[in-house]
Amino acid sequence: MTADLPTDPTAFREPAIKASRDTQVGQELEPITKLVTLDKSRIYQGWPAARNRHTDYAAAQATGLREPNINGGQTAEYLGELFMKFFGAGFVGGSLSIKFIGFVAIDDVVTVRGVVTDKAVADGRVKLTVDMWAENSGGTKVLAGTATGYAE
Amino acid sequence: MSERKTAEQLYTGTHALSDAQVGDKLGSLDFVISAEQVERNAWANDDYNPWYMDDSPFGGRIISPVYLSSFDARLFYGYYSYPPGGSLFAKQEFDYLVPLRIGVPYTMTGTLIDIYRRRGRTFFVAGMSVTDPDGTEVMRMSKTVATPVRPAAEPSGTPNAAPTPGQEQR
Repeated sequence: MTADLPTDPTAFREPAIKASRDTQVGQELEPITKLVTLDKSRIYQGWPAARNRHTDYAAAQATGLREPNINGGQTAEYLGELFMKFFGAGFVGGSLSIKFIGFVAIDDVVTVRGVVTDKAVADGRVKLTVDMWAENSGGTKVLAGTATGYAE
Repeated sequence: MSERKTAEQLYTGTHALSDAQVGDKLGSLDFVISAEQVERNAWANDDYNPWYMDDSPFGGRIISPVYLSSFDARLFYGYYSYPPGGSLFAKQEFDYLVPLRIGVPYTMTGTLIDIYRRRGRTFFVAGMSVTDPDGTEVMRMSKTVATPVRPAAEPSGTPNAAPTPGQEQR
């Protein structure tokens, strides 16, 4: 299910839910929702110098696609955004692992979600593990990942 | 007007992936991330984290944790030639040791650490290390590249459903 798009996508919003020593397993992260347009893809790719199936109709159609689709690295940035918003400075010493499992179409609405799956204490610090994923507007997962980081 | 290039034309590698061996040294890539690059990435992704745009607790503006995912593709295809059947990202992993900052010269080195075959595709796993000017390792990464885009037919009885690794390299 798609979460609501932000009223101002260019504004940075501090998340209400951040990693802390009190965070419990099962805690859901505050989702992030993005409208992914061809223009955004072109900015990411460096169009017009970069002409490929993520920026150009002819290049996309040459690979059998009807229209350009979104590069996995760009969608992965959305997981990176959720990762940084949740862990903050505690991302140092952490990790992010991302599997690319589906395509994102232009003008799709992508929602990134996460849930805390493990909590451990190491050297006096609280280490959290989070399952993260991105789903398109149809509810299909397009990325799946695991993140670790520390509660500050 | 700037020259328009396809994904294949952006890569300069000459070694055939069909000849790849675990242990292949992919060389190194020196780079500096500029403020303009970080701002373009923020614009593309609507992620205006003040640690990228203004300042951070780490002594300057830092770079988003996923930003280098296209740099290791450049290293990978700076060594291997882009395959005729295209390729896909399958997996990307990052270990964050020290935050990367704008304006600092870094060096990325890479080695091919695994090759495996599954469901009509061959998967190549490259391990990367990023170091700062002092030689301190600041990030470890791995990238799994799958080829071809359209899986090859496998012997009868072997399921050939695509494992759907995601997207073309940029």
